Amino acid sequence: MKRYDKNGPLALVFNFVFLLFILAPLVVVCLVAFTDKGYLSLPRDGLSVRWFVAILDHPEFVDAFWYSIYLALGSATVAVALAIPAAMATARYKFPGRGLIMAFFMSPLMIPHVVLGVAFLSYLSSLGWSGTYIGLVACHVVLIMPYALRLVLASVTGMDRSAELAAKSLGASKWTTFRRVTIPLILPGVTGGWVLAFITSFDELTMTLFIASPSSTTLPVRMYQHITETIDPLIASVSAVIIFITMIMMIILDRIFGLDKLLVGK
Amino acid sequence: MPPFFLKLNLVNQMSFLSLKNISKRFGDFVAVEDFNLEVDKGEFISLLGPSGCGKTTTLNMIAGFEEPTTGAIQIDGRDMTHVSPNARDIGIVFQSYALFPHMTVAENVGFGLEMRKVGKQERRERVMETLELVGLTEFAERVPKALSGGQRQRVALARAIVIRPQLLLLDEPLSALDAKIRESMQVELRNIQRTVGITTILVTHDQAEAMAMSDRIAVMNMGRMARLGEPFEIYEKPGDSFTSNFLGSTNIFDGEVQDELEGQVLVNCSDIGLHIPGSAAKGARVSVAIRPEKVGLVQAGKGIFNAKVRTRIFLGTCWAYQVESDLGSFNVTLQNTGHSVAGEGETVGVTWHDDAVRILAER
Amino acid sequence: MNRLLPPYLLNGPALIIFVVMLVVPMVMTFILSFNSFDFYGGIKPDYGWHNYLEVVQDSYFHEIFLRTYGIAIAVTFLCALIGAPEAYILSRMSKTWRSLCLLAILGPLLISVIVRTLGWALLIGNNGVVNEILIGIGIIETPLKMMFTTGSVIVALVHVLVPFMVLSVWTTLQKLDPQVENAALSLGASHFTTLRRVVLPQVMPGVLAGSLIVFALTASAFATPSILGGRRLKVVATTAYDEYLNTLNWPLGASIAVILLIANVVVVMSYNRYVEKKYAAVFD
Repeated sequence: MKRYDKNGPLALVFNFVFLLFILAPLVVVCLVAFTDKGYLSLPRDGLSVRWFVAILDHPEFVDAFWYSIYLALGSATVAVALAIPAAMATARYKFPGRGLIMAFFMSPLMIPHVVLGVAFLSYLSSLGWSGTYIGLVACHVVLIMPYALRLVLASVTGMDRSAELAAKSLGASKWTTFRRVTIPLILPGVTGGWVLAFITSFDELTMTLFIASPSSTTLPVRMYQHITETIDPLIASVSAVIIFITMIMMIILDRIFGLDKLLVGK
Repeated sequence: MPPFFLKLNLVNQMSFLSLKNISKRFGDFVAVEDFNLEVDKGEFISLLGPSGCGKTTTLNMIAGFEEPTTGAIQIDGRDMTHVSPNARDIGIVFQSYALFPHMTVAENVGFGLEMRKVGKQERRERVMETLELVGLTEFAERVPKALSGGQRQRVALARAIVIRPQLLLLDEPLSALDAKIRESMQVELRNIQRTVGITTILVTHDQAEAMAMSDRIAVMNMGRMARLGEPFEIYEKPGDSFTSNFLGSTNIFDGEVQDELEGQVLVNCSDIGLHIPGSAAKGARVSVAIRPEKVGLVQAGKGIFNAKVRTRIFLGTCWAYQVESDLGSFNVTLQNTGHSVAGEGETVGVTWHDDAVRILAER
Repeated sequence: MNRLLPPYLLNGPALIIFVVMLVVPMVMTFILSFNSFDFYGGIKPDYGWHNYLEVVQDSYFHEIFLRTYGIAIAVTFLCALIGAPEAYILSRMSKTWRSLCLLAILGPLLISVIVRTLGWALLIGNNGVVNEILIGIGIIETPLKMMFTTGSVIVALVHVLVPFMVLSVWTTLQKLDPQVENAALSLGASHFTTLRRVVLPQVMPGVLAGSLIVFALTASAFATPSILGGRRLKVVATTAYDEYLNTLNWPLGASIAVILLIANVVVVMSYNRYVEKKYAAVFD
């Protein structure tokens, strides 16, 4: 059966206004980034990329961008590496404390990021890990673990286990079954979990604000510091770059997983 | 819109529900094409066809969920083509039952009465009356989640008939049920329909269900009406190969008409001459059909022609044979009479009554 | 024993990280919140309720907590008010349009809050786009003051968080039998009655779940109130930040954080209980 739009004109107007509300701030950021003026303004007298070029003269933003990438790469990988065995255990075994352990791994979702930041700040400084890459990765792993685990777990529980039994009945060893059947079957969930964890780590501001040091500043933290001092077209162009990169990633993600599925975690 | 005098003419028709030349297109896709149907008051009609044949779209147009691209729908002489579904006074049982999960059984059944502003007292009485009819009085206060599939189905039926609609539409109402429950529900549904005397349209892809329940069956194929008639009539005289195949299994052979005389034709099928009732032009290529249960197996040489048994399967009430002959391979169903029958590899004679064979229209 | 060992071994690495990196820091913060602070001497290892008493007794903190939860309630209500209808409209769209709209609504969730908040700052600032346009077409002469108001914080937070509401309601709507609406219509209900009596009660669990997420995230929001609310419109999260990084009164900051955490957990738990109790019998 083909389905057609069943919305009335009023609903379509509502939808339009809603989308306008959602997209306007992002569109404005991109427009202001292209201004040819030296101050905040819409590009009324022509588009200019001078503020994008200006980013290159501010190594603190470029450095922060790369630091964010390294941090997100490291923490997403560690989080997924921890999530796969944990998801396997939860999906495949019955054991005392199973629900409790899951709730424990999901608990960072319930903790305000400012609370995590407060806790990590004093903890890292007492360990002498303040501002170190290891320290930041460890904190980010805890923060993004729920996102990674949710998607990995969904793919492990949703997997058709008879495929594994079939492989074994055809003579595959335990290890071969895992490598040739299990891994390919859960790969979409694992990739989705990794990507979501990466993005969450890359975007994180509040908690990182507490634990970042001048030598380990992420892009959102650098941007926050900049904004609290001044809002200029430079910060708009930096934001516009983030929006472009995210948009490209988003379209790829939507093609592969379906964005709603990724975010709902099914 | 048809001109005024035509409309007047339509009103004079006696049938209760009438679909006049309706078609439905979704973009380039033609779901229903030039469909006509006249249904009498109190009649039980099935729309039968494979999925995608347009039967559900037709039902949706009768219900008012879809508007026909062309054509008109009348109920009791009133033009309903563009009337919205909540003003049509039609009871519908949906395939998924579509019960309101947040309401109790009684609230579900009473919803339509509430919409019709029926007073609380009367509503209660009519709800309980109808629940009694479907045998669910003690479940009135439960929520749908707490019921079995068959019970949900009855709630859906009760909800549809309690409003005493002028028309009842059943959209594959039994397809979600187990085979056993389905059969008993068929009988029950039919009995309830007779008791209430309500004009009913059933949409189904199950030919047995359609034959068991309907006064008449409209077979649909690719958006068009393939055959309309009483179950026995269309089973025996399907008319075309689609209907013949869809209503039961059929053996179909190609042949050429050699002679025609006195309501009979002589058809040559792979050098076997068959006498078949009907008429066709000499030299025409035709399809000849016979149902497996109309074929008999006798001793070799004593039938119309000989065949070799390839497989034989025991099904309890009958034997299913596949035999190989000059006509090609075909299926034979024999009643299990308790006696032993020809085994695999044996040569047997094939026989039938001439009037069991049909000539099908070329498509 | 043998059967029980594998699951714990598999969970082991993650458990160790979580104990070392979550339990220990949280416990330390909890302990820290009982210490006292002296501007000259720093943190003293004594224990008492004085930080909590200060928060409970000082009207300065009352105002901050009231503002935070007031904003949270307003944002939650507004998100439900516009997010739920939007999800319903999405569910009735043709497939192509729907995926485009979903992409536009959910996509911003993947963009850092800081960028989205910056967008609002650029829109409503004194030299912002809205003022630029309004002055340009001659409606006003001096710029409207919208930055650093509670209203701007609320609007921006609705913008940041409404995708969660849409997502939550949308998920519930997908479980809805599409025939149920037709059933109500065929029984004589008007479109409005169908919405109110049949659709709304069934999507309520989604609205409630979405409200919970939005409420909890608003109550602990930092970036948006900090940038759009400025120094004067403090909320709980920005107050804790200031105590830590400006005043350097870590024990007081820790106690504010602990109160925020406990308040959030209590709200989430009791709300979950309420929702489960109400809907467990009806929905799967």
